[in-house]
Amino acid sequence: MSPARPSQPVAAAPAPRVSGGVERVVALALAVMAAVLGVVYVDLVRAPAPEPPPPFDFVNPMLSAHVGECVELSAATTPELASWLVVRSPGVVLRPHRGDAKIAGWSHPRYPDARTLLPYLVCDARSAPVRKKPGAAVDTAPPPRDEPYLFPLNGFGLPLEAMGVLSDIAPTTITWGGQTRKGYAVGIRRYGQLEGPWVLYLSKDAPVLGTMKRSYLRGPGDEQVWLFRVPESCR
Amino acid sequence: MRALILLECVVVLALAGLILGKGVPGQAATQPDVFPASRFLMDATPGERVVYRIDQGDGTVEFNVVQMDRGGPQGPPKATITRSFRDQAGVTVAENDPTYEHRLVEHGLFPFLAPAEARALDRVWVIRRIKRDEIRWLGRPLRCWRVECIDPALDPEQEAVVVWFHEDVPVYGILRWERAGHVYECTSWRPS
Repeated sequence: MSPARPSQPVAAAPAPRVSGGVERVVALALAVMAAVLGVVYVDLVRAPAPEPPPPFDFVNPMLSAHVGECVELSAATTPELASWLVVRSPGVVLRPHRGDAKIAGWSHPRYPDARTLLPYLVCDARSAPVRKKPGAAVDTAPPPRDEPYLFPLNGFGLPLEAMGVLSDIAPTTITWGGQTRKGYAVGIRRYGQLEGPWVLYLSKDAPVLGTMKRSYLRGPGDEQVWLFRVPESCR
Repeated sequence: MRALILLECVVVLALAGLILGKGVPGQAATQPDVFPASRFLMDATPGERVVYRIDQGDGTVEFNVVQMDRGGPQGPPKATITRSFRDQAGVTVAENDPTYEHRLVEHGLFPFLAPAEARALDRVWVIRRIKRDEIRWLGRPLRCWRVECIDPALDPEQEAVVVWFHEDVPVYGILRWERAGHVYECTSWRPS
């Protein structure tokens, strides 16, 4: 009553043939994979070594500002409404305590004595002429008066009232004045008015404040941008 | 046939490992350095302390974080810091104003070494240049940041200050600074 007789042929007799076929397919697939991986590896090995990033070397551009230097500033959304910032004499003030107690035309309730201020650069802001279309009527209104602004030398180009806490400085490239330039993206966190993260794009090639662009992230996807450019003249 | 499959498996795995190990070409080399200013005083916590030896043992200066307000809708961030100078014998040098409020917006990254005077902000060091650097620290090379500054409180011929930062050093993140012919070196921190 044995269930299988030894003399009976085994039911799976053709299996080795099928198995042999599958094994050949697997071996072939693995050979193809190995070949592809081999080509990728050789390609990786032969790839030229990439250029290392330039060494980090941030130089405070405001320390190089000269009296009379000028830059134009406008919001990215209204480029026709621009202002000029012109460095006023005496230029970079490293030792306010040795200077005058008053800055002509400037006052601030928190800083009644200018000798106790942070080291600064003072600039006059004036409206740039409105870029009108050809044939438009000439504006005969008198130009508005210059308004002084103080830029602390550690403020990365933000005025005294708008200073924030430095978060980080990262090298970056930016297109400015039609050229791609190497510069630094300075992350600042502001508190109070216009609170939140700001990014200031600086280069030692940009005059006055060293700023090429300012960006304020008001919220997700809501970015406000100010652009700087060198005008032909500030007169 | 099975031996061949096994061999091919080994080859495929080895090649995959080699490719993964090699990574994207130059990924590490092209990763730019970022100066991590928010990891210095801004991430200090109450109770943190740091001690600096002045020159080769002319005394020490110690900074302790008493309170830390990281800022927000209530206002900008500020830290309450106690500074104590000790002479060669370890005796505390009496100071008029040992505890001061470090307002991060106005005072920035650097410590105040003198008693606070009302609104005497012209003692804040001005950043001139920031570079990567490597110094010997406890006999080993240590990658850090070299920040060159100007101290407006000093005369122009003495105004240069050099500060070395490392984000793991407590309180200000400062390893060492050189100012007016004196060297201040951290003695309370060791790299892990």
